[in-house]
Amino acid sequence: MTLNYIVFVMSEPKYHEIDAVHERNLRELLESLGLLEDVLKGHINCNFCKKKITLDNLRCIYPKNDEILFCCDDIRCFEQTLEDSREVKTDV
Amino acid sequence: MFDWQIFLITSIPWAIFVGLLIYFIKNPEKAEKWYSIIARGLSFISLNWEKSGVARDIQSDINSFMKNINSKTKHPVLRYEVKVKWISGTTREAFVKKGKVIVKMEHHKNQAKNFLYITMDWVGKSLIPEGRHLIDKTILRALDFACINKVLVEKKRYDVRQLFLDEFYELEAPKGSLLEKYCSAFDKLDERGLLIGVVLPEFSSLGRRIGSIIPSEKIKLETIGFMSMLEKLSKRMPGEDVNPDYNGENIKCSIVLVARQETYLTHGLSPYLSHINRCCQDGIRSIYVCAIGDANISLVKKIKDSYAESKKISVVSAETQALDRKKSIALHLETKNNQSQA
Repeated sequence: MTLNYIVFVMSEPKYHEIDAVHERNLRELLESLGLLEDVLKGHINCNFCKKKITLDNLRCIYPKNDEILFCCDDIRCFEQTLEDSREVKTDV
Repeated sequence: MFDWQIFLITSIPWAIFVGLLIYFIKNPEKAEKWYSIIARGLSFISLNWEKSGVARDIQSDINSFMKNINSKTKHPVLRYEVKVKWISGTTREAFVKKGKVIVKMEHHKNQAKNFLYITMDWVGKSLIPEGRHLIDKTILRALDFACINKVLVEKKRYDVRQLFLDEFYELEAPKGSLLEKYCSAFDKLDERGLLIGVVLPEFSSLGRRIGSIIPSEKIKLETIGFMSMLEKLSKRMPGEDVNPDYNGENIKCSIVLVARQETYLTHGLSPYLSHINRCCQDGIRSIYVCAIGDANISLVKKIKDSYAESKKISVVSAETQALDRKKSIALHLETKNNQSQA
Protein backbone atom coordinates (compact mmCIF):
# COMPACT_ATOMS: atom_id res chain seq x y z
CA MET A 1 0.00 0.00 0.00
CA THR A 2 2.75 2.44 0.97
CA LEU A 3 4.61 2.06 -2.33
CA ASN A 4 1.38 2.43 -4.33
CA TYR A 5 0.54 5.51 -2.33
CA ILE A 6 3.95 7.11 -2.90
CA VAL A 7 3.67 6.44 -6.65
CA PHE A 8 0.13 7.88 -6.65
CA VAL A 9 1.17 11.04 -4.80
CA MET A 10 4.28 11.60 -6.92
CA SER A 11 2.54 11.06 -10.24
CA GLU A 12 -0.41 13.38 -9.66
CA PRO A 13 -0.41 17.12 -10.33
CA LYS A 14 0.05 19.44 -7.37
CA TYR A 15 -2.37 22.11 -8.53
CA HIS A 16 -5.96 22.24 -9.61
CA GLU A 17 -5.73 24.95 -12.23
CA ILE A 18 -8.91 26.90 -12.86
CA ASP A 19 -9.15 28.80 -16.14
CA ALA A 20 -10.72 32.18 -15.61
CA VAL A 21 -11.52 35.27 -17.60
CA HIS A 22 -11.86 38.65 -15.97
CA GLU A 23 -15.11 40.45 -16.82
CA ARG A 24 -13.06 43.19 -18.47
CA ASN A 25 -11.50 40.62 -20.83
CA LEU A 26 -14.76 38.84 -21.61
CA ARG A 27 -15.50 40.60 -24.90
CA GLU A 28 -11.94 39.87 -26.06
CA LEU A 29 -12.29 36.17 -25.21
CA LEU A 30 -15.68 35.80 -26.91
CA GLU A 31 -14.34 37.64 -29.95
CA SER A 32 -11.41 35.22 -30.18
CA LEU A 33 -13.89 32.33 -30.10
CA GLY A 34 -16.08 34.03 -32.71
CA LEU A 35 -19.06 34.17 -30.35
CA LEU A 36 -19.25 37.81 -29.28
CA GLU A 37 -21.84 38.77 -31.85
CA ASP A 38 -24.07 35.83 -31.00
CA VAL A 39 -24.02 36.80 -27.34
CA LEU A 40 -24.68 40.48 -28.06
CA LYS A 41 -27.59 39.58 -30.35
CA GLY A 42 -29.07 37.30 -27.69
CA HIS A 43 -28.74 34.13 -29.75
CA ILE A 44 -27.24 32.09 -26.94
CA ASN A 45 -29.02 30.42 -24.02
CA CYS A 46 -27.83 28.82 -20.80
CA ASN A 47 -27.29 25.12 -21.41
CA PHE A 48 -29.32 24.23 -18.31
CA CYS A 49 -32.05 26.77 -17.48
CA LYS A 50 -32.24 28.10 -21.09
CA LYS A 51 -32.10 31.71 -19.88
CA LYS A 52 -30.81 34.14 -22.51
CA ILE A 53 -27.06 34.71 -22.01
CA THR A 54 -25.80 38.29 -21.82
CA LEU A 55 -22.35 39.69 -20.99
CA ASP A 56 -23.64 40.40 -17.47
CA ASN A 57 -25.19 37.06 -16.58
CA LEU A 58 -22.64 34.82 -18.31
CA ARG A 59 -20.79 32.76 -15.68
CA CYS A 60 -18.81 30.20 -17.66
CA ILE A 61 -18.20 28.63 -21.03
CA TYR A 62 -17.07 25.08 -21.73
CA PRO A 63 -16.67 22.78 -24.69
CA LYS A 64 -18.55 19.52 -25.14
CA ASN A 65 -18.57 17.31 -28.22
CA ASP A 66 -17.00 20.03 -30.40
CA GLU A 67 -19.66 22.50 -29.30
CA ILE A 68 -19.15 25.52 -27.06
CA LEU A 69 -21.73 25.72 -24.31
CA PHE A 70 -22.66 28.55 -21.97
CA CYS A 71 -23.86 28.70 -18.40
CA CYS A 72 -25.60 31.59 -16.63
CA ASP A 73 -24.80 32.94 -13.16
CA ASP A 74 -27.31 30.76 -11.33
CA ILE A 75 -25.21 28.68 -8.90
CA ARG A 76 -27.22 25.53 -9.64
CA CYS A 77 -26.47 25.87 -13.35
CA PHE A 78 -22.79 26.35 -12.50
CA GLU A 79 -22.83 23.20 -10.36
CA GLN A 80 -24.37 21.27 -13.26
CA THR A 81 -21.68 22.65 -15.56
CA LEU A 82 -18.99 21.31 -13.24
CA GLU A 83 -20.63 17.86 -13.25
CA ASP A 84 -21.15 17.98 -17.00
CA SER A 85 -17.53 18.98 -17.64
CA ARG A 86 -16.26 16.19 -15.33
CA GLU A 87 -18.31 13.69 -17.37
CA VAL A 88 -16.71 14.99 -20.56
CA LYS A 89 -13.26 14.39 -19.08
CA THR A 90 -14.21 10.83 -18.06
CA ASP A 91 -15.56 10.15 -21.55
CA VAL A 92 -12.21 11.17 -23.01
CA MET B 1 35.91 52.48 18.08
CA PHE B 2 32.95 50.21 17.28
CA ASP B 3 29.71 52.19 17.48
CA TRP B 4 26.95 49.94 18.82
CA GLN B 5 24.27 52.56 18.26
CA ILE B 6 24.96 52.81 14.53
CA PHE B 7 25.26 49.03 14.28
CA LEU B 8 21.85 48.53 15.93
CA ILE B 9 20.14 51.23 13.87
CA THR B 10 21.45 49.78 10.60
CA SER B 11 20.94 46.11 11.46
CA ILE B 12 17.40 46.21 12.90
CA PRO B 13 15.71 46.86 9.52
CA TRP B 14 17.76 44.03 8.00
CA ALA B 15 16.82 41.70 10.83
CA ILE B 16 13.14 42.54 10.34
CA PHE B 17 13.50 42.03 6.60
CA VAL B 18 15.22 38.64 7.01
CA GLY B 19 12.66 37.60 9.65
CA LEU B 20 9.77 38.49 7.33
CA LEU B 21 11.47 36.74 4.42
CA ILE B 22 11.84 33.50 6.42
CA TYR B 23 8.22 33.79 7.62
CA PHE B 24 6.90 34.25 4.08
CA ILE B 25 9.07 31.42 2.68
CA LYS B 26 7.65 29.14 5.38
CA ASN B 27 4.08 30.40 4.85
CA PRO B 28 3.73 31.27 1.14
CA GLU B 29 -0.05 31.64 1.44
CA LYS B 30 0.44 34.48 3.95
CA ALA B 31 2.74 36.24 1.48
CA GLU B 32 0.08 35.70 -1.17
CA LYS B 33 -2.57 37.23 1.11
CA TRP B 34 -0.48 40.35 1.66
CA TYR B 35 0.28 40.53 -2.04
CA SER B 36 -3.45 40.33 -2.80
CA ILE B 37 -4.20 43.20 -0.42
CA ILE B 38 -1.52 45.36 -2.05
CA ALA B 39 -2.68 44.36 -5.55
CA ARG B 40 -6.29 45.25 -4.78
CA GLY B 41 -5.08 48.63 -3.52
CA LEU B 42 -3.26 49.18 -6.82
CA SER B 43 -6.03 47.76 -8.99
CA PHE B 44 -6.92 51.24 -10.30
CA ILE B 45 -3.49 51.38 -12.02
CA SER B 46 -3.92 48.42 -14.37
CA LEU B 47 -5.99 45.32 -15.07
CA ASN B 48 -3.01 43.10 -14.17
CA TRP B 49 -3.03 44.36 -10.57
CA GLU B 50 -6.81 43.89 -10.44
CA LYS B 51 -6.50 40.28 -11.68
CA SER B 52 -3.69 39.55 -9.23
CA GLY B 53 -5.79 40.92 -6.39
CA VAL B 54 -8.80 38.78 -7.32
CA ALA B 55 -6.86 35.54 -7.89
CA ARG B 56 -4.40 35.71 -5.01
CA ASP B 57 -7.06 36.61 -2.47
CA ILE B 58 -8.90 33.37 -3.32
CA GLN B 59 -5.76 31.25 -3.69
CA SER B 60 -4.30 32.34 -0.35
CA ASP B 61 -7.48 31.57 1.60
CA ILE B 62 -8.14 28.21 -0.02
CA ASN B 63 -4.51 27.07 0.07
CA SER B 64 -4.03 28.04 3.71
CA PHE B 65 -7.27 26.21 4.59
CA MET B 66 -5.97 23.15 2.77
CA LYS B 67 -2.65 23.31 4.59
CA ASN B 68 -4.40 23.64 7.93
CA ILE B 69 -6.72 20.64 7.35
CA ASN B 70 -3.94 18.44 5.97
CA SER B 71 -1.78 19.22 9.01
CA LYS B 72 -4.41 17.45 11.12
CA THR B 73 -4.43 14.19 9.16
CA LYS B 74 -1.65 11.73 8.46
CA HIS B 75 -2.36 11.56 4.72
CA PRO B 76 -3.61 14.69 2.94
CA VAL B 77 -7.39 14.68 2.46
CA LEU B 78 -7.35 17.82 0.31
CA ARG B 79 -4.94 17.05 -2.46
CA TYR B 80 -4.50 19.98 -4.83
CA GLU B 81 -3.76 23.61 -4.28
CA VAL B 82 -5.89 25.96 -6.31
CA LYS B 83 -4.38 28.16 -9.00
CA VAL B 84 -6.32 30.65 -11.10
CA LYS B 85 -5.04 30.89 -14.66
CA TRP B 86 -6.17 33.96 -16.55
CA ILE B 87 -7.30 33.53 -20.14
CA SER B 88 -8.05 36.52 -22.30
CA GLY B 89 -8.08 34.98 -25.75
CA THR B 90 -7.84 31.60 -27.44
CA THR B 91 -8.92 29.88 -30.60
CA ARG B 92 -12.00 27.72 -30.92
CA GLU B 93 -9.89 24.65 -31.78
CA ALA B 94 -7.55 25.12 -28.82
CA PHE B 95 -10.48 25.68 -26.44
CA VAL B 96 -12.34 22.57 -27.61
CA LYS B 97 -9.16 20.47 -27.47
CA LYS B 98 -8.33 21.62 -23.95
CA GLY B 99 -11.85 20.73 -22.79
CA LYS B 100 -11.82 22.96 -19.72
CA VAL B 101 -14.41 25.28 -18.24
CA ILE B 102 -13.58 29.01 -18.31
CA VAL B 103 -15.16 30.83 -15.38
CA LYS B 104 -15.95 34.52 -15.58
CA MET B 105 -14.58 36.40 -12.58
CA GLU B 106 -16.00 39.71 -11.52
CA HIS B 107 -14.29 42.87 -10.22
CA HIS B 108 -12.77 42.43 -6.76
CA LYS B 109 -15.64 44.42 -5.25
CA ASN B 110 -17.90 41.46 -6.14
CA GLN B 111 -15.45 38.90 -4.77
CA ALA B 112 -18.14 36.87 -2.92
CA LYS B 113 -19.40 35.20 -6.08
CA ASN B 114 -15.87 34.68 -7.41
CA PHE B 115 -14.86 32.97 -4.19
CA LEU B 116 -17.89 30.69 -4.09
CA TYR B 117 -17.52 29.50 -7.69
CA ILE B 118 -13.84 28.75 -7.29
CA THR B 119 -14.37 26.98 -3.95
CA MET B 120 -17.12 24.78 -5.39
CA ASP B 121 -14.95 23.79 -8.33
CA TRP B 122 -11.88 23.20 -6.15
CA VAL B 123 -13.63 21.08 -3.49
CA GLY B 124 -15.10 18.81 -6.18
CA LYS B 125 -11.61 18.11 -7.49
CA SER B 126 -9.43 18.26 -4.41
CA LEU B 127 -11.37 16.53 -1.63
CA ILE B 128 -10.24 12.86 -1.36
CA PRO B 129 -9.85 12.40 -5.14
CA GLU B 130 -8.56 8.87 -4.60
CA GLY B 131 -11.85 7.71 -3.07
CA ARG B 132 -14.63 9.90 -4.51
CA HIS B 133 -15.78 7.34 -7.05
CA LEU B 134 -16.31 4.72 -4.32
CA ILE B 135 -18.62 6.85 -2.17
CA ASP B 136 -22.40 7.02 -2.54
CA LYS B 137 -23.38 10.19 -4.47
CA THR B 138 -25.52 11.75 -1.74
CA ILE B 139 -22.85 11.16 0.92
CA LEU B 140 -20.22 12.62 -1.39
CA ARG B 141 -22.33 15.69 -2.01
CA ALA B 142 -22.86 16.15 1.73
CA LEU B 143 -19.09 15.82 2.24
CA ASP B 144 -18.48 18.50 -0.42
CA PHE B 145 -21.05 20.80 1.21
CA ALA B 146 -19.51 20.25 4.64
CA CYS B 147 -16.09 21.11 3.24
CA ILE B 148 -17.32 24.23 1.37
CA ASN B 149 -19.07 25.38 4.54
CA LYS B 150 -15.91 24.78 6.56
CA VAL B 151 -13.76 26.85 4.18
CA LEU B 152 -16.23 29.74 4.33
CA VAL B 153 -16.55 29.65 8.13
CA GLU B 154 -12.83 29.25 8.82
CA LYS B 155 -11.91 32.03 6.43
CA LYS B 156 -14.68 34.25 7.83
CA ARG B 157 -16.25 34.66 4.39
CA TYR B 158 -19.70 35.21 5.87
CA ASP B 159 -21.06 37.03 2.82
CA VAL B 160 -20.09 34.10 0.60
CA ARG B 161 -21.56 31.65 3.12
CA GLN B 162 -24.89 33.47 3.06
CA LEU B 163 -24.86 33.32 -0.73
CA PHE B 164 -24.05 29.60 -0.61
CA LEU B 165 -26.83 28.87 1.90
CA ASP B 166 -29.51 31.04 0.28
CA GLU B 167 -28.91 30.40 -3.38
CA PHE B 168 -27.68 26.84 -3.30
CA TYR B 169 -27.76 24.76 -0.13
CA GLU B 170 -31.34 25.44 0.91
CA LEU B 171 -32.64 24.66 -2.58
CA GLU B 172 -30.46 21.59 -3.02
CA ALA B 173 -30.94 20.14 0.46
CA PRO B 174 -34.50 20.95 1.56
CA LYS B 175 -35.53 20.13 5.12
CA GLY B 176 -36.18 16.43 5.63
CA SER B 177 -34.19 15.34 2.56
CA LEU B 178 -31.52 12.67 2.82
CA LEU B 179 -28.88 15.19 1.78
CA GLU B 180 -29.93 17.54 4.57
CA LYS B 181 -29.80 14.63 7.04
CA TYR B 182 -26.25 13.75 6.01
CA CYS B 183 -25.13 17.41 6.01
CA SER B 184 -26.53 17.87 9.49
CA ALA B 185 -24.73 14.70 10.65
CA PHE B 186 -21.40 15.96 9.26
CA ASP B 187 -22.00 19.32 10.90
CA LYS B 188 -22.52 17.69 14.31
CA LEU B 189 -19.53 15.38 13.81
CA ASP B 190 -17.42 18.40 12.88
CA GLU B 191 -18.40 20.12 16.13
CA ARG B 192 -16.76 17.18 17.91
CA GLY B 193 -13.72 17.13 15.64
CA LEU B 194 -14.79 13.84 14.03
CA LEU B 195 -15.17 15.08 10.45
CA ILE B 196 -11.46 15.84 10.12
CA GLY B 197 -10.38 13.29 12.72
CA VAL B 198 -12.35 10.26 11.51
CA VAL B 199 -14.66 10.64 8.50
CA LEU B 200 -12.29 12.14 5.93
CA PRO B 201 -9.27 9.96 6.92
CA GLU B 202 -11.45 6.85 6.75
CA PHE B 203 -12.82 7.63 3.27
CA SER B 204 -9.34 8.63 2.16
CA SER B 205 -7.96 5.34 3.49
CA LEU B 206 -10.69 3.46 1.57
CA GLY B 207 -9.56 5.21 -1.62
CA ARG B 208 -5.89 4.46 -0.99
CA ARG B 209 -6.60 0.78 -0.38
CA ILE B 210 -9.11 -0.03 -3.12
CA GLY B 211 -9.25 3.14 -5.23
CA SER B 212 -7.85 1.37 -8.27
CA ILE B 213 -10.68 -1.16 -8.56
CA ILE B 214 -13.84 -0.51 -10.57
CA PRO B 215 -16.42 0.77 -8.06
CA SER B 216 -19.37 -1.53 -7.47
CA GLU B 217 -22.80 -1.00 -5.95
CA LYS B 218 -21.65 -3.17 -3.04
CA ILE B 219 -18.94 -0.69 -2.03
CA LYS B 220 -21.37 2.23 -2.30
CA LEU B 221 -23.85 0.34 -0.09
CA GLU B 222 -21.05 -0.14 2.39
CA THR B 223 -20.41 3.61 2.49
CA ILE B 224 -24.16 4.08 3.14
CA GLY B 225 -23.97 1.58 6.03
CA PHE B 226 -20.95 3.37 7.47
CA MET B 227 -22.73 6.72 7.08
CA SER B 228 -25.76 5.36 8.91
CA MET B 229 -23.52 4.46 11.87
CA LEU B 230 -21.94 7.95 11.75
CA GLU B 231 -25.35 9.57 11.66
CA LYS B 232 -26.50 7.67 14.77
CA LEU B 233 -23.26 8.65 16.48
CA SER B 234 -23.77 12.31 15.58
CA LYS B 235 -27.18 12.30 17.28
CA ARG B 236 -26.02 10.37 20.32
CA MET B 237 -27.04 11.92 23.64
CA PRO B 238 -24.80 11.63 26.74
CA GLY B 239 -25.28 8.21 28.34
CA GLU B 240 -26.99 6.76 25.24
CA ASP B 241 -25.49 3.56 23.81
CA VAL B 242 -24.77 3.54 20.09
CA ASN B 243 -22.87 0.73 18.42
CA PRO B 244 -19.63 2.49 17.40
CA ASP B 245 -18.41 -0.31 15.10
CA TYR B 246 -18.83 -0.79 11.38
CA ASN B 247 -17.41 -4.09 10.21
CA GLY B 248 -17.97 -4.34 6.47
CA GLU B 249 -15.89 -5.95 3.76
CA ASN B 250 -13.84 -2.84 3.01
CA ILE B 251 -14.68 -0.41 5.81
CA LYS B 252 -13.78 -1.92 9.17
CA CYS B 253 -13.90 0.91 11.63
CA SER B 254 -14.66 1.58 15.26
CA ILE B 255 -14.99 4.95 16.99
CA VAL B 256 -14.30 5.07 20.72
CA LEU B 257 -15.52 8.25 22.39
CA VAL B 258 -13.74 9.09 25.62
CA ALA B 259 -16.20 11.40 27.31
CA ARG B 260 -16.75 10.33 30.89
CA GLN B 261 -14.05 10.92 33.47
CA GLU B 262 -15.96 8.76 35.98
CA THR B 263 -15.42 5.69 33.78
CA TYR B 264 -11.68 6.22 34.09
CA LEU B 265 -11.87 7.01 37.81
CA THR B 266 -13.85 3.81 38.52
CA HIS B 267 -12.30 1.33 36.08
CA GLY B 268 -9.11 2.95 34.81
CA LEU B 269 -8.26 2.48 31.12
CA SER B 270 -9.45 -1.14 31.00
CA PRO B 271 -12.93 -0.50 29.43
CA TYR B 272 -11.25 1.35 26.53
CA LEU B 273 -8.38 -1.11 26.15
CA SER B 274 -10.66 -4.13 26.25
CA HIS B 275 -12.90 -2.56 23.57
CA ILE B 276 -9.86 -1.90 21.37
CA ASN B 277 -8.54 -5.43 21.91
CA ARG B 278 -11.98 -6.86 21.06
CA CYS B 279 -12.01 -4.78 17.86
CA CYS B 280 -8.65 -6.30 17.01
CA GLN B 281 -10.05 -9.82 17.46
CA ASP B 282 -13.16 -8.98 15.39
CA GLY B 283 -11.01 -7.91 12.44
CA ILE B 284 -11.68 -4.17 12.70
CA ARG B 285 -8.96 -2.34 10.79
CA SER B 286 -9.15 1.27 12.00
CA ILE B 287 -9.90 2.31 15.55
CA TYR B 288 -10.35 6.01 16.28
CA VAL B 289 -10.22 7.09 19.91
CA CYS B 290 -11.68 10.58 20.17
CA ALA B 291 -12.11 13.08 22.97
CA ILE B 292 -12.82 16.73 23.70
CA GLY B 293 -11.32 18.75 26.55
CA ASP B 294 -7.95 18.60 28.27
CA ALA B 295 -8.82 15.91 30.85
CA ASN B 296 -10.19 13.53 28.21
CA ILE B 297 -7.31 14.31 25.84
CA SER B 298 -4.82 13.24 28.51
CA LEU B 299 -6.72 9.93 28.80
CA VAL B 300 -6.43 9.40 25.05
CA LYS B 301 -2.69 10.07 25.30
CA LYS B 302 -2.46 7.37 27.99
CA ILE B 303 -4.30 4.96 25.68
CA LYS B 304 -1.84 5.86 22.92
CA ASP B 305 1.10 5.13 25.23
CA SER B 306 -0.41 1.72 26.06
CA TYR B 307 0.00 0.70 22.40
CA ALA B 308 3.45 2.20 21.86
CA GLU B 309 5.07 -1.23 21.75
CA SER B 310 2.11 -3.38 20.79
CA LYS B 311 2.66 -6.12 18.23
CA LYS B 312 -1.00 -6.19 17.21
CA ILE B 313 -1.90 -2.51 17.03
CA SER B 314 0.05 0.43 15.65
CA VAL B 315 -0.47 4.14 16.23
CA VAL B 316 -1.14 5.84 12.89
CA SER B 317 -1.64 9.37 14.16
CA ALA B 318 -2.77 11.38 17.15
CA GLU B 319 -3.81 14.80 15.96
CA THR B 320 -5.37 17.55 18.02
CA GLN B 321 -7.68 20.22 16.65
CA ALA B 322 -8.89 23.51 18.06
CA LEU B 323 -12.69 23.51 18.11
CA ASP B 324 -14.88 26.50 19.01
CA ARG B 325 -13.89 26.71 22.66
CA LYS B 326 -12.05 23.48 23.37
CA LYS B 327 -9.47 21.20 21.89
CA SER B 328 -10.20 17.74 20.54
CA ILE B 329 -8.05 14.74 19.71
CA ALA B 330 -8.44 11.82 17.33
CA LEU B 331 -6.08 8.93 17.98
CA HIS B 332 -5.98 6.64 14.97
CA LEU B 333 -4.95 3.05 15.68
CA GLU B 334 -4.63 0.33 13.08
CA THR B 335 -4.57 -3.41 13.64
CA LYS B 336 -1.38 -4.87 12.21
CA ASN B 337 -2.86 -8.04 10.64
CA ASN B 338 -5.14 -5.82 8.55
CA GLN B 339 -2.29 -3.49 7.61
CA SER B 340 -0.42 -6.33 5.97
CA GLN B 341 -3.58 -7.42 4.10
CA ALA B 342 -3.99 -3.85 2.80
